[in-house]
Amino acid sequence: MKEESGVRISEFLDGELSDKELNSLMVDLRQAENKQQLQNFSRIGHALRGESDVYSSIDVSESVASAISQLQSEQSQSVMTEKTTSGFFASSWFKPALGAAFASVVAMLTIVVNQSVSVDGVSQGVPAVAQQQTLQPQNIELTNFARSSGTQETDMAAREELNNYLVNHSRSASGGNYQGMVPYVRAVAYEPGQTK
Amino acid sequence: MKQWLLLTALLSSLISGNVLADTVQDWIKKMSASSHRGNYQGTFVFWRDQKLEAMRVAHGSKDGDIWVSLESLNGEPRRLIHANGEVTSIFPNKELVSINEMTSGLPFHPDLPKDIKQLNKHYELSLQGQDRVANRETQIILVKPKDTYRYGFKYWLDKETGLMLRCDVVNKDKKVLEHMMFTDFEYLDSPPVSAFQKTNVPGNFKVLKQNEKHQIKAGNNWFAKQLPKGFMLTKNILKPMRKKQATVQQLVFSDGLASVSVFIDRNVSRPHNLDGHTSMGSVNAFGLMMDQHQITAIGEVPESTVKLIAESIRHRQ
Repeated sequence: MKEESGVRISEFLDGELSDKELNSLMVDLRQAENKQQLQNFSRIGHALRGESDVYSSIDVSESVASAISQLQSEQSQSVMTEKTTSGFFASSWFKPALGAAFASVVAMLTIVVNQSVSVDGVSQGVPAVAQQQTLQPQNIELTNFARSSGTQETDMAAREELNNYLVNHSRSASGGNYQGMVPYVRAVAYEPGQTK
Repeated sequence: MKQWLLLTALLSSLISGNVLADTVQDWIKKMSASSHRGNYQGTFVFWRDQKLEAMRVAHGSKDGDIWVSLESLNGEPRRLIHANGEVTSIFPNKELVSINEMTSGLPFHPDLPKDIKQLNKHYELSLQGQDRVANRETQIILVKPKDTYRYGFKYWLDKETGLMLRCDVVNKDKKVLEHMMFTDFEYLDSPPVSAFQKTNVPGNFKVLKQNEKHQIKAGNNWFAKQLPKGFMLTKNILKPMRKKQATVQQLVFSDGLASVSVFIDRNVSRPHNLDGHTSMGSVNAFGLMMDQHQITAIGEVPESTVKLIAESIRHRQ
């Protein structure tokens, strides 16, 4: 897929495309080359999440294009006066009709196009699904840490503490089981670097 | 005469190392043995929590010495080099170098348990067909836990050498929690020496040194009252931790495949200790306070396991 199309799909998922840009994207999506690339990206996304190959046969590009058509149809009938596309897509995000298409492409774009959900803990404008987990590459992600402390400062300190523990655990684990360097891969992935 | 030649050829192929592994146990042994042999380099992806990391690995071995280099290819630059008994982590953006002298000469590699059948008590091992990874033919091994205290693993092993080219960590709901897969892979005739050199590290980088040789074997004043079946204490040490004045006691429990570390910290004046559960990918952690000590259990096991182990830690009076 051309990089430009990838960017526009990402913008579409962010609700940042105008009507004209949407039409253009829809045409592109139905082109054979893009269609194939979307399928490939989708397969990679599913494979990385360990999902069944059965999803590979779903024509994602058709799903997205259909979803856009449906959206535009609904938009023309809508009594909503709000014209901004971002608001429109934000409100349409949870519509069941879009669920399957979006889920596939969001996952695909999260993994393949954007690659990293966030950098240094700052969201990079990825779709809402991805934003559910704001990751900080240098820290262990504390998914429910809020209950143990209150302030940002203490959270950071706790993260650093857990990072130290994780690195030390990884070093111990790597020498004691069958998994070879996998624990070390985790250590590299989570290495803190906040000890300056 | 022909029969003798055939027999000789067969024996030669068996002795050469390219042994055809028949049983799943053979494959596990082959995987373990291959992980600290050979010269190779490649790129793999590591996925967890909706986040994808790409890393480049180089591995070399010669006359018992082993070198490993892992380099993160996206996000903040990070590089880890194991060479000459040291593990060096380099963070260029932070101008930081961390050097750990290792107690073991093989920090990256597994020690094969004396009795491989131990694994059968807690995991079902089975062969799951064949696949292709990084353009190489692989044998798939499924390691399915017999209870809910551990995760399952799926390994894709190079048919020629047994080296793990892909690994999935799976929970009881068959959801993949972590995924590592080589995307390109190449065996080399000799160690890729240049990959293990710490070049391009400017002199102004801050260097943190931690000598793990100085870690002390701890007493048995702390112990686990209850452990999931198969988990045994494999390490009990006092070790210095970054940014800490005092040492922290580390107990490591393992069933031969999964492991859990319990850190016991007497320095509880700080108000930011972990209380409860947190997770990242397949790694779970659980923290609590006990007898004015912070207890933190962390490992690549389900939440219930780290919780059980943390809550079972007792202080011998």
